Parts: sequence; C-alpha cells; structure tokens
Amino acid sequence: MLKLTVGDFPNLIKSALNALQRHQEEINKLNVYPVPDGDTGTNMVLTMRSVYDELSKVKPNTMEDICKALTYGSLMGGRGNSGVILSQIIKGVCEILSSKKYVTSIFLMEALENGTQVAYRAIRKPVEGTMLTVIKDAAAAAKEFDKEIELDIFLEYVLSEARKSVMRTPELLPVLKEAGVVDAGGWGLVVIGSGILSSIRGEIENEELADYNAPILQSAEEISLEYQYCTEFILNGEEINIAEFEEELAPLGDSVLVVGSEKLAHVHIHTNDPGKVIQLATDKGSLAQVKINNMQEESKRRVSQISESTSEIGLVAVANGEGIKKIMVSLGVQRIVNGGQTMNPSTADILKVVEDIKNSKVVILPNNKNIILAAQRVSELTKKEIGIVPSKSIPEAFTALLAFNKNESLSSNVKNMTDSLFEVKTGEITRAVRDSKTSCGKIKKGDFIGLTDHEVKVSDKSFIKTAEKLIDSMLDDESEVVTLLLGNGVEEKTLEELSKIVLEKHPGIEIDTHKGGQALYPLIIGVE
Amino acid sequence: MIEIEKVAIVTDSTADFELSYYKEHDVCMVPLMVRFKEESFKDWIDIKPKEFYKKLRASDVLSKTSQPTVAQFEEVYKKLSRDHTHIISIHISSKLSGTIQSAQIASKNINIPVTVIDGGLASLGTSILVDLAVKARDEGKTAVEIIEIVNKARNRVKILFVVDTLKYLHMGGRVGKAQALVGGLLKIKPILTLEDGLVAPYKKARGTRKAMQEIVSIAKESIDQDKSYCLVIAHGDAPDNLVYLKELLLKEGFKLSQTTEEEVGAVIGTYTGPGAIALAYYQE
Repeated sequence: MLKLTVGDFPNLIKSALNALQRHQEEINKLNVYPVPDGDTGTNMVLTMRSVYDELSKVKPNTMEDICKALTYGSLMGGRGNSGVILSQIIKGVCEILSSKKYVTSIFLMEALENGTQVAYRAIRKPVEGTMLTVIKDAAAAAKEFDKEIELDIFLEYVLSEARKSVMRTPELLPVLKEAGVVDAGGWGLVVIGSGILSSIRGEIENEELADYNAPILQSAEEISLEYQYCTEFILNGEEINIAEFEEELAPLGDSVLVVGSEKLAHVHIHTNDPGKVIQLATDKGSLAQVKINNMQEESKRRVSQISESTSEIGLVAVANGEGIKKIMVSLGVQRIVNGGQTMNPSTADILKVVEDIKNSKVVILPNNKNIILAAQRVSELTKKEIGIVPSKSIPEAFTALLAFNKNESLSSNVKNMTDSLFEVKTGEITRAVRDSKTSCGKIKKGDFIGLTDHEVKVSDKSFIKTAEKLIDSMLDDESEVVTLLLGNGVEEKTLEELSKIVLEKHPGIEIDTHKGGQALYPLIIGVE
Repeated sequence: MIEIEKVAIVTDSTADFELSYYKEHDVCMVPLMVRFKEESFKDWIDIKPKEFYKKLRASDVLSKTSQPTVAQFEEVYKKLSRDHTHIISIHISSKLSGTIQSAQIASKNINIPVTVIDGGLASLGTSILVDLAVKARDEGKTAVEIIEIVNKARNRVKILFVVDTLKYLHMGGRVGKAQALVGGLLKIKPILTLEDGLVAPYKKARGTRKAMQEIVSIAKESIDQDKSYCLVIAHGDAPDNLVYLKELLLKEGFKLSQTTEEEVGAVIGTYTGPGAIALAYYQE
C-alpha cells in the first residue's frame, strides 16, 4: 500500500488502541519514571480511547476532519505525563497531515518530524531516554527514505529503529537501568506503531510484537516523592497564555505540562499544593475533568504488590571484589556478605544480612571452606528457614547459582545446588608469602603459585606461565568453559594474552573472562 | 447409507517438516512469511534453512516473520472441502504466533467441518502432533478420534531446546518467561522449553555440550525405552551439535531408528537463531 486515505483511519486508530490494550499491564509494569506509580499503560490506553471515541463521533470526509478529531480527542483525553506527551505528538503529526488528501510515506516522514518538534517544544525540560527520544529516533529513521515507498515497509523499518531506541533508553536514563526496565512511554509508542502497522497489513494481530515481559523490579523500595499529588485538568478559557501559565506553575512542582490552545488547554503537574494550582487555573477559565492522584499511595500499593510477588527463596553469598559481587547479583543473589580467604565473616555478620532481607527462606553460599561452619550456625540463631550449600570457591558459587530454581522447594534447591558443585573445578593463583618446599619443588617468597583444592600444583616467577600451567593441569576432554576472574592489580592486557595462549592450546574451549576485583588472588579459574 | 469419512490434515510451515513429508503423507502446509528488509520469502517454500541461516549471519538486520493471511487458509480449506468430509488443522502455539487466528477466521467460511487445533508447541513439537494425526488417519480412525489423539498429546509433548544466544528470542519479543535469563553476566547456554505455549526457562548450563547432556538425561528419565515413543531432534545450522546429540542418545540406549531428524526452518529460526539444538518427545 502506497497511500492511506480518510477511510483507512478509523481502523488504524482502532488497531492502535487494541494493541495498547493488549500491552497495557506490561507497560504499567515498566513505569518507573518520572514517578513509579505504574499507570503509563493505563494512561496511554485512556488517551488513545478518547481519540478513538472522538473519531467515532464524526463522519470524516477529509483528512482535516480526521486530524481535528485526533487532535481534540487526544488533548481532552490525554492522561498523565505519557498521555499528554502523546497528545502533543499526535498534534504535531496532524498539523502536517491535515492539509493532505491522502497519506504517503513522505508525508508521514514530515509528520513524524513535526510531531517530534511539537512534543519537544511542549515540555519545559525534555529528558532523554523517554518517549521523546523514541519519537525523535523514529522520525530520524523515517528520514532515511527519500522517496515514496510501500507504507508497510516504511513503517516496519521506522518501528524497528524505534524499538532499538527503546532498548537504549536505560543507557540514557539511569533510573531505568537501576530498575532493569526500558522506558514505559517509549515502549507504548512502539506498541501503537505496531498496531498501526497491523492495520496497514490487514492483519488481525501483529505477528512481530509479542509481550516485552517487563522484569519485576527486584529491589522494590518505597520511594519518597518530592511531589506527592499528580494534578490534571482541562482548562476552558478565552485567552489562555500557555507559556505564561506554565511559567506560573513551574515553581509549584515538576513534570509541568500545559498544552493546547488559548481556548482549551490540558494541564498536568506533580505538586504538593494542588489547591494552589487549581486556584491559579480558575482565574484563567473554567475547569473540567479535574483529577488529583496521591502518587505516594499509588507507589506504596505497588511496592506491596511487588514484595508479595518476591516471597521466594532469598540468596545470600559471601564474596569480595566488586566484579564478583556484580556477577553474583546478576545470578540472583540478593545480598552479599563481605569476606573471603583472609577475612572470614562471623556468624553474626551473616546473620545480620539474613535477617535484613525480606525472604523467610534463605540459601547461604559461604564460598570458602573456613566460612561454612559460621554459615551453618546461622540456622540456629534465626527463625528463618536456612539452607547451606557448602561451596568452597567463587566458581562453585556460580555453578550453584545457575542450578537454583525459584520454583522449587528450599530442600530440593539445596540438593541440586550442592550436587552441581562437583561440575566445576576451581584453580587459584596467589603469591607465596615465604620460601618453602612443596611436592612441586622449591618455592621462593614472591613467586606465583597455582592451587587447586588448596594444594600447590604449580609455581613460577611469571604470572602468565603459572596460570598457563595451572589451566593445562585442570583441563580434560570433558572441559568446555573456562571462567577467568581477574583480581585486583592485574592488567586486562595480561588476561587477553593468557586467553590467547589457552585458546591456541585448547581449541574448542570457550573462555569467559571477567574483572573480579578480588583481593590476594590475581586470578581465580573455573573449569567446567 | 453409510457416509465414509475422509479427513484432511493441514498444518503450517513452522512444523518444520521437509516439503517431501507433505507429499508423502498427504498433508497440506500453509507457509508463514519471513522477511529481510524488502525481501519476502515463503517459509520452507522459497527459503530453505541453509539459505536462511546464511542470510541471517550475513544480514545486519534481523529477519521478521508474519502469519499466513486468512485468504491463504481459505484457499487451502476450500480446495480440500471438495473431496473431504472433515479438516483438522494443527498449528503453532497461539502465544507465539497469530497463525491460528487466521486459520480460525478462514474456517468459518467452509462448508465442511474444520477443527483448528492450537498445538501450544512449535517446530518439532508441532511435527509430533501432525505425525500422530497422520498415522491415526492412515489407520482409518475417524475425525473425532484423531482430534482426541492430538488433544491428548498436545499437553504431553515435551520440547527442550538450547539456543546459542537469547538475542534472537529477545529481539523478536518471544523470550517469554525466559526473560529472567537475560542479563546475567556469565556466559550461559539456556535450556528452554515451551510452557503453556510460551517460551520458559528450564535450566541453565555452561557450555553447549553440557546443555545437550542435560536434555538427553531429561529425556532418559522421562521416557520408558521398553515402550514405544516418539523422539524428534532438530538443529538450526548446527549439524555438529546434532551429531553429538545423536551420540549421547545412542549412549543412553535410544534407538536412532525411532528418532526423526529435522532442521529448524526460517520462521522458527528467526527466533532461535543459528546454533540452536532441540529435542522433543512424546510417549503415550
């Protein structure tokens, strides 16, 4: 299809609305910014429904009729930050399409560009990593086509770029990254686009877009909000000065949005003084659709929902080194007890962390043979149900964590995790603290020594040589993956060199290297 | 007068049978589409797995897929309605594709009964269901009996697969409950399954061979080798892995004569990517 005509639009909007409705909950779950009140999906649906209802009321004959309905419907029905921004994008798009007889890819390109500009202009302090960024990237992608092409190809490309843009939002907005989500509003835009694409293709459901499956926030902390009330209304007046009114509201809160015309404006603000906002507004005209929401309450409700959903088995591990801790957390560990070979944590240290987390069942990974006992004592001192996996090294901890299954019972997890410990061999490299004689010859103080099972297996003056010999001794026909954890004070270059040597000698092995950042051991090796 | 039943069996291309299967067993196949930017291909018809993976590895954009249209199904059903009394149409999980919706809508305009079955599976999983239906039909079972056999099996076919990377499932929005596996810092080979029609994590392994050992040991625990069973294995551009998998199966006492080998086609391969290996089994 090269052109969309007036008659295509009702289905198009319907399809966009349907898509949003299907993804509503999922978008809600992604919502952490600007306020984690979990309503972005709902707001976008309500906004789009208002657009659809408005369009259903009129019998459109021209694109102008369509655009009027779209602009008016979204302005009146725009809910929340995302809804209002959406209404501005729609407004910008319609400004371009309104004068056309039909819609081609070229017109859509112009429309997206204008939609982006109108949306950016409407917002006092545009923030990147939000739906603004996504529409901007979509508009930029659209520009890559300099002549008319099939609309589905055009839209598909624009959408795929928009989707990539959504995936990049955590890089732009740290709060998203911390929560492990992508931007909710941006994702909502992709959903809308996919609905439109389905309609153009004549599909019932879009094949490409299944659920994003928002991860549940792991650390659902109650937030304290600077501004507690989301306040929103429609202002009908005669000569509303949009920019001036926005200036006036700015000191009263944040997320301030005033959009529309001098006769009809949509106002949105997060504030602690909704009364003052309303009062200022009534001086300018009459109010409709006033909505004041206590976001602190919303957030509380949401946190309690999330906490309930994580009433699972908690994981606590002993470790040191920033890199190692990060890997542990990525494998599902809630809390780390600082410690290791020369700094064994006490039972009290472990107990404190176990009591600290919400979970009533906890698996502890001591990751050192000298800490296992202290960990075992914890179960006598707490009411919580404790399982101990007697892991003696960091690589063992990793393997055990991979065997963890949150859907299984504590006891079967402890069994599976303990069984898995035998699947990995651990090697450690450190420096000799004194001259000594061992089964592998004389060792001088300061030499590198390679250990497995706490026994010295190799030694050499060179770090690389020691590592190479140790790895050689650990590998056999069954070995597949070598994990290298680089300790403090060793350069990454050295590790690259080592990887190269090992790969040359043992083709077919996969090497997984990480900065572990651990003390005392320049290298920890896992072979499985 | 006794009316003689003549049952037609329809599936879609994501069952990942070779085209010769359809001919030999009198099954109709409706293809999904796979696209690279502006190029469009009918799954298995215009593009075979080898060519697809070659393209996928060379392409800077991921391929996209789309479900068959209602018209495609209508055409097939109408044709079959002329010389059959019943159509049984077995398809990929409705949670992974909209294919079944097209089939259902098309089925309303046909003047013989059309039973559309959501297999809740994909690829080699679906192929087990289709093959069960074919065997039942060839034994002269009635449509009702065939439907019963397929419905009974669909909840019990187990499919386990290992992907080289979750990237393709993730980018294609099909990662389902395996989302939890994305983002861990260690390199892992996720063992996945289909649960309620959605991709779900089964286990995590380090190394592809470990993962294959794991799926074979699951199959061994679940299958009673003294009774008859269906076992299908498949690979997506990973013939070496398939060889290793077969060695493992032999070692565990499975008979390769009872094992079917398949390749993962372009549409499913869009989501599993190169290097995937899969095993599915069913025992009554």
